[in-house]
Amino acid sequence: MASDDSILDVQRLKKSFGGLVAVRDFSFHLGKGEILGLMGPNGAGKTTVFNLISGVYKPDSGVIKYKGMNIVGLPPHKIRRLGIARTYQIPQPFPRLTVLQNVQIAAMYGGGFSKAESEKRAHEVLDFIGLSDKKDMPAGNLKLLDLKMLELARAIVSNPSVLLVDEVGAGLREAEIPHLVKILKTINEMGVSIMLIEHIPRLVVETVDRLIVMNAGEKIADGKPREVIRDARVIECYLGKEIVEE
Amino acid sequence: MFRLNAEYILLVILTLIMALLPVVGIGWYTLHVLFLFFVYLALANMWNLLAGYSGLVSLGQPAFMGIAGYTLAMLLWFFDTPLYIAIPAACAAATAFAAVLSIPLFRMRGFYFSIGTLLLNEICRVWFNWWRPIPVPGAPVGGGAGFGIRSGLSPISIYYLALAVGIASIILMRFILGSKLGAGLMAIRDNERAAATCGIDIFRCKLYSFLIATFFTGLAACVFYLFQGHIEPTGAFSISWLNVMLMAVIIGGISTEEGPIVGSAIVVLLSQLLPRYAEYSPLILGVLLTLIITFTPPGIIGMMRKTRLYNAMLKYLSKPIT
Repeated sequence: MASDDSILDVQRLKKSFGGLVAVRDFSFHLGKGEILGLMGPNGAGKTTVFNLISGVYKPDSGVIKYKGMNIVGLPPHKIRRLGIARTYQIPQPFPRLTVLQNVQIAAMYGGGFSKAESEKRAHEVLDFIGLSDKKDMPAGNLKLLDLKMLELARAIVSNPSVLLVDEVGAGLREAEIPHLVKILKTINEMGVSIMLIEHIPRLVVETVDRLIVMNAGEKIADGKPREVIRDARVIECYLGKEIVEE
Repeated sequence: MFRLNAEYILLVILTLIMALLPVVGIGWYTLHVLFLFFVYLALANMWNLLAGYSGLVSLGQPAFMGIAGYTLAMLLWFFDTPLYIAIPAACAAATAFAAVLSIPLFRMRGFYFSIGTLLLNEICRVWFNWWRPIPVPGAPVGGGAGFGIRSGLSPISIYYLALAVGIASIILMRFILGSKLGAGLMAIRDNERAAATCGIDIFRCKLYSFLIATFFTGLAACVFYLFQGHIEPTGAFSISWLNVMLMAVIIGGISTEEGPIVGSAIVVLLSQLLPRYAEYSPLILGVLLTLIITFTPPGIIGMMRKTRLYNAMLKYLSKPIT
């Protein structure tokens, strides 16, 4: 499946915690400029996949090729500096620093920009994401939606090639979703390949080019989002078998 | 970096006043108290850099002070090294010691790191208690008796050294906190996981902070031992040094730039007042520390930053770095 124009190429990834196999022989690729969705029931191993790619965990076996280079075993900060940025499902701000400082630090360290250049970029990104009126607030005082936006701002400010977005929609109100879809699409149009973990069907179908569904650490479907969510195995893992048979 | 703003003008004026005090013939006692203040200030600033900004609650700073002091004593005693070489060499020795120890120490986190560093003091005390490099006939040298430190400096020159080190520690803090390293350290202190995800090399940032703080703590120790003229293991590696740093930083306000300045002044005053009530002094200090931690964990500065008067005053200075 992997072709020359894939930016991330993951082969036979495996990770277990004690006796529990979280990710089992998981292979996929992320195309250049693609938005790839990753769905699956709780505990399917989606976040573990992100943690493996971003270097938080080291896989038991498998290869993660980024721009043709195997990045398995690199520490998180190096992977970020290579151009793979991520957000966390539960926002992880620097609570005592201001919103602007939060973003500026990511630009300085993650993007290698100078202090002045980082500040300029941070202002631009905050404008784009809609947080500029809160830029001097301590990040610890932000509400959930703003914290999620801050996660995104911090991720994209370093000009990454790949963006891993972990459930940015979870916990948000229905009305807030179009704004989010628009932002993700714009980031993608700027040339960032995006991988998205998401549960909200509307957000997934409207945003992604391709959808992978995981269950119990394995890939069970991979294809066009509207086809994948009708796949019998996908419905089965979400809703159970009997309903499918009816 | 060094724009001439109100802050620096204030700092220069205060420094000039402090520098003129010995000339106008101020009493020895006051000069001694000021000397202690500047030494404590440098120690407190460096401990604040570690505990307040880098998340490294190091309880092993007395060990590094002692290593610096002993190196200084050795260089002066055995080699008659000139001070301008001996002092940097002593600080470098302490820093090298810290660099080697950072390999095992940085494998520990949080409380474990603190306990690990705390043990350094005791290990050093025991070792230097035993260590007698060369038996000198007729003079008790080394071991528990320690070494004399003969610098030939006048007390007033030593006062000026302390003044320079104390003021330099304030400028150094401003410089570090405004730098890329400072931003990285504050990010690590706030959220280690997010810091790594933002591209910050946690180990390297903490190591730099640890080494810078140790070098400067060693410098303050050198100034102190030049004044004391003598070093022996029980005093050098004593927990009371830790008390000074912890009290000054916590009473003044941890993770604030101004905190250690206010805290050091209070600790110096207490150290002069309390010996009169020797039997009660641990009680008084304990109660004071408990009150601060209970009612205003960010210290006196943290309490003052909530008041309008203080914030109005800050307007004339540049913003404090959180």
